[in-house]
Amino acid sequence: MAEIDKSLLGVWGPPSTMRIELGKIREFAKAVKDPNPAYLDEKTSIAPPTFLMTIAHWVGDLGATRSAVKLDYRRLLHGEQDFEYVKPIRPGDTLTFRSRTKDVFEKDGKRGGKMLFVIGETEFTNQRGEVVAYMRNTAIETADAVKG
Amino acid sequence: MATTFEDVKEGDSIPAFVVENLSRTDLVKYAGASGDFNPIHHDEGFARSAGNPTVFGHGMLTAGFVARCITDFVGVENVRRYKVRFATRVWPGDTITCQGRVTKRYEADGEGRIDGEVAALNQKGEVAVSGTFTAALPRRG
Repeated sequence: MAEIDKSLLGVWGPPSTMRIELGKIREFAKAVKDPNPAYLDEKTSIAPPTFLMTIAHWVGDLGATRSAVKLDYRRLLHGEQDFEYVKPIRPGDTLTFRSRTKDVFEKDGKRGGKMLFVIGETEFTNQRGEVVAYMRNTAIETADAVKG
Repeated sequence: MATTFEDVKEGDSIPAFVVENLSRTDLVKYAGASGDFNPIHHDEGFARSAGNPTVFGHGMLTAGFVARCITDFVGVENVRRYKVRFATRVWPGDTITCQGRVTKRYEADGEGRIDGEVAALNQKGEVAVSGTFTAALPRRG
């Protein structure tokens, strides 16, 4: 099961950076089967709505920025993901991001015994100091492997 | 071209996008693109040892397919919010239909905005991903 340090809830982790690259945008757009020309051009292209998931390439793992909770990946489910877009994100941008665990709580699950809910939030700021996006997610750790 | 604010009514449906016969290669491509290398999505032995019949799709891959429905309708730059919830999982061989509709049309912060609901359904009609979005639409020029 997960290990939880409640004293770290709500505390922002250390900032890290990620660079937004056209090649990565194109690769990501292909992976989600989206041929939109908005993702192809060096000058006008823009990051797709779920592109910030590529943050995974810039952190070791979730635990690196979300120190309050260590999760058991074999029992981990992704419950919800929420993106708030404040400004466009484009190739050439350097984003600074920081994350925190906002909340942790337990519920009885219908399919997998007790479930632990972990709500995380990441804030992204560009090289001009403008907040460009927030990404929030709900991870669920189940007591047993999930059925269905 | 993105839809304009004047062209949209509450209740309008958003054109569907269908992914047929999801493949393990699709899962591997998304793992590489996103950086989500949770082995449960590509390593058959690992997936089975965790009690699953085989590997299954990243929830965010399906959410990415659904996002295409939204951006084809409103334009990439106009999306203000996108929130998804994961229900049943998707498996290799599944056909996934992404669809949605406009639930609200309103003015806010000087922008003409819409809210909508979206979903990805498998070939049995089960919801894999459901979600909501907010977009600011351009006005007819």
